[in-house]
Amino acid sequence: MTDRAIPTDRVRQEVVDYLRGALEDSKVKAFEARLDRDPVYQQELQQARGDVVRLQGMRRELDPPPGLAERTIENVLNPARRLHAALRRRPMTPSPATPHSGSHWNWHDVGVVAVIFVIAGLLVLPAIHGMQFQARVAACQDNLRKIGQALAEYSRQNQDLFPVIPTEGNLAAAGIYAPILMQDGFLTESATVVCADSAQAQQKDFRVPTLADLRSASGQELFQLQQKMGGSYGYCLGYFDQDGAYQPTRNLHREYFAVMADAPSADRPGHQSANHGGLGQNVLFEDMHVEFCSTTCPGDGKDDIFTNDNHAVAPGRHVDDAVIASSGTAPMVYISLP
Amino acid sequence: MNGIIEQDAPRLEERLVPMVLSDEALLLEYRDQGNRPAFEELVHRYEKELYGYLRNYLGDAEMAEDVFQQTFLQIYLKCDQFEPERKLRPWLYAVATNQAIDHQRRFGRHRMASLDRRMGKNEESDTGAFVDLFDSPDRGPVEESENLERADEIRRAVDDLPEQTRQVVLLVYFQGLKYREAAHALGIPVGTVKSRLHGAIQKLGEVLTLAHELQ
Repeated sequence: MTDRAIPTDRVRQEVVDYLRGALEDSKVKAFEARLDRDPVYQQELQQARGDVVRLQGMRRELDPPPGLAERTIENVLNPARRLHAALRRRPMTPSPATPHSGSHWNWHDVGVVAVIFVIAGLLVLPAIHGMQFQARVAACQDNLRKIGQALAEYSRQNQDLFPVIPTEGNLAAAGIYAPILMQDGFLTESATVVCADSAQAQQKDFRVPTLADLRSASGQELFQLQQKMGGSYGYCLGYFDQDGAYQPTRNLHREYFAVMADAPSADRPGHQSANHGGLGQNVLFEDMHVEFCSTTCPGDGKDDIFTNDNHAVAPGRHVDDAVIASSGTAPMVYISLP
Repeated sequence: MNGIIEQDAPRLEERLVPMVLSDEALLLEYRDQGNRPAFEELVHRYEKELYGYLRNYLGDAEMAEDVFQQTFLQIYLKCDQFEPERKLRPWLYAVATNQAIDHQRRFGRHRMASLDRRMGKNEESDTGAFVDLFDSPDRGPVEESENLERADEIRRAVDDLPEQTRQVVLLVYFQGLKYREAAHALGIPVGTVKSRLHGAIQKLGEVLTLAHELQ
């Protein structure tokens, strides 16, 4: 320890700064010149270098637990989980009360109480907002379950086929499922196809058009009917089989296969639905369970429900490639080739 | 002749962008464009580094995971406050450190068990590079034992540093932050960072010198 006592604190500080690359440029040359001729500096540098290496060596590479990033992303970006996490942050126990010396409140006390109320408000308001959000998500899920029951019943009576989207004509759009289910009495209320969190919920006079309305319409009127007939939900487009032939979706009761969902958005990244503030979408699977998914790739994360395996909004590339499209989307677009 | 075209394919660059963006650009991409993959990339990018810091700081895996998640929750909630001209890394460490302090305050400080004992082979493989400094195949069992004791001494010495000094040691020596970045992360002047570091070196001086002599 006697050697370490020789250098002053200033020299030690200078040496450590030099090693950390934190010495000002203007001082580096002077320091190095001093280093060349002063054995005390040389000894101190050697000692400090060893210390720095040892301290840095103590940094241990501690691998995070498997899936930490995924859990974090899910908890942060999933609104329901985020609410839970935020609520956990509220103080668990109040501060111990201190005896009050006076019998009357002064301005300081009033100020403290006011701050407490403001903080309480800031804590409670997001929670209330979160509960309202959850209520709308739950109402949306109820809608999808009702539609799911209607689809299941329809498929039972139609050789396991869900409502088929024609490939051409006035009825050739994904939203046709709704007029078909309404026409055949599987659904009775137009409101069932409207998510309470969607823009369409503001249109109080919304009703699902009839098949006759669609058949008789043309031009801009037909376009508008097709855009709105499926409500605020998207419907499965079908797929191409091995021979390249278009096939409608058949009810195979697959738990991983998405049949309907909150309608995809045309302008959000990944087509994430706009119905729930872009935070995710409710998805109805073929086994008729409903989930709120914060990503467009639910389950094992392999299949994007809003695009096919070629990343296109078009029928699936195979029987397990689910593609949910918004109401006005046609399964095929025909163009003239030269 | 009729043919089928596929509509509205997402641009390839939309999927690739997050991988080449800076930390700051990723956060802004998420904040301003709602680009979820950008946020995901950010979490993945800091998963190992920030968890390692919190694990060292808190000395407990479960607490470190909890605070890691709370840190990114705060980043999500406060990303509107991020100033584009500043660096994200010091801000991230500032949030993480504050969250860790808050966590300790509410749940009590956890003893740095991981620094105090040497893990068995079947436990987490975090015996660490420091121990390796002392491990040598040429040493006999007695020397080996002495070296391990010395390593434990240094670990305890770091652990016993005053809280504020230990924060600086962890950020600068363990995480490699520059003085300025550590100052920003801790909300203290650069001069204070320097003086705390030098204080730490002095406090650790004896035990470090002994380690030096052993080598």
